[in-house]
Amino acid sequence: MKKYLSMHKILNQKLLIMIKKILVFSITVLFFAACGNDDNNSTNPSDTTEIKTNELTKLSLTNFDSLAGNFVGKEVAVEGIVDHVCKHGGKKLLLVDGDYNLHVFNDNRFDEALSGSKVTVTGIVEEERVDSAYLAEKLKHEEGSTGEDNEVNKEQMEQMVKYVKMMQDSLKKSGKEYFANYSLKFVSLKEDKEK
Amino acid sequence: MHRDIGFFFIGTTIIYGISGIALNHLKDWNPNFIVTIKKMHTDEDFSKEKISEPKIKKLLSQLNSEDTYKTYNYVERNSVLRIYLSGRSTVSIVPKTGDVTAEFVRKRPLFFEVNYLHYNPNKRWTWFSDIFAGALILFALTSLFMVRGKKGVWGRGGIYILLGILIPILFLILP
Repeated sequence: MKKYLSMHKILNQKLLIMIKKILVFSITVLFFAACGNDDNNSTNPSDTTEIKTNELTKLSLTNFDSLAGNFVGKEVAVEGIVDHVCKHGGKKLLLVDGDYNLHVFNDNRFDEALSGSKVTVTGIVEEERVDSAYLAEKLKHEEGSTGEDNEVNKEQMEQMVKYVKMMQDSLKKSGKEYFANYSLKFVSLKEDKEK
Repeated sequence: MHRDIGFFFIGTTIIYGISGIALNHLKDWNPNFIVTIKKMHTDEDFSKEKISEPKIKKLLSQLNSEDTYKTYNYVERNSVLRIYLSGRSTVSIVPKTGDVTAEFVRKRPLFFEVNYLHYNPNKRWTWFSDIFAGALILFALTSLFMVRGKKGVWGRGGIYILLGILIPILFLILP
C-alpha cells in the first residue's frame, strides 16, 4: 500500500511537470498566434487609412524621376497601377503608369491581391547613387559570376554586362558624377476602387 | 528539454526543410506559382485611341476571365496593351498584330505557404524563426552530451561531427 502511494505521488509529480511544460508551450503558441497580424504597417487593402494628401506632395509617375531629387528623405504620395508584387519576398512592388515605373520597398510583405490594382502609395523618397565606382564594382561582379549553369543564365549574365557597360558610357558622356535611382520606402497605401 | 523542444519544432523544421529545397532550385522552377500561357489572335482594334472596357471584357470572355478584370495599361511606347486580372494574371495584346498572350497565375499549393514563411513575412515571424534558429543551436550543443561511450563525442559520434564540419569547409576552399 505504501509502495502504491509513493508511486502515485511520483506519477502525480510527473503529471504536474508535464502539464506545466504543456502550459508554457501553449502560452508561447498563443502569444505568436495572437500577435501574428497586428503589424503597424500592414498593407491589407481593407486597412485604407486615410491619406492626408492635402499635407503631402502628390507626384505623378510621369514626372517622378525629374522631381524626386527635391524630395529625398521626404514623404510623398504617388498614384499608379501595381504591375506586380515581388514574387519572392513580396516586400517590393512595381508601380507603373504607361512606361513610367517606380519601385516601392516595404519591411513587411505586400498583399498579393494588390497586383493589377490602382493605388495611391505614400512613402519616403530614397535615392541610390550610381557612380563610376559602383558601376566598376558591378561589372567586376557580373563578369565574375558563374553563368555556366545553363544557357539562360549565361545569356542573362551577358546582357547584364552589356547593360553595365552601356551605363558606364552614358555616365561618361553625360559629364555627371552619378546617376540617381529613386525609389519609395513604403509608409501607407490606399486602393482606388474606381476603375 | 532536447526532446520536448524537438517535438515543438517538428512543424517548423518541415516548413524550412521543404521551402529550403524549393528555393534552392529557383533556377529550375517557380516554387510559388503555377503559370499557364494561352495564346490567341484578335481582329479587334485595341489601339490606345480605340480602347474601351466593354471591348476588353468581350475579349476576356473568350478566355473565361471577364469577371477577374481589374485595369489596363499601355507599355512599350503604347505598342503593348497590358490587361491586369486578379491573382497576378495578365493578358498582353499587341494591337498592331492582334497577338494575344494570356498568362494565368495561380498559387502552388503548400509550396506558396511554406515559402511565404521562409521569406520572413513580418516581424513576429522574425522573432519566432529566431527562436527556432536558437533552438537548432541548442539541439546541436545538447546532442554532444546525449550519448556517452564509443558512440558518443569521443567515439564514432566525433568522427561524424568532424565530417559535418569538414564538408562545408571544403565547399569554401574548393573552387
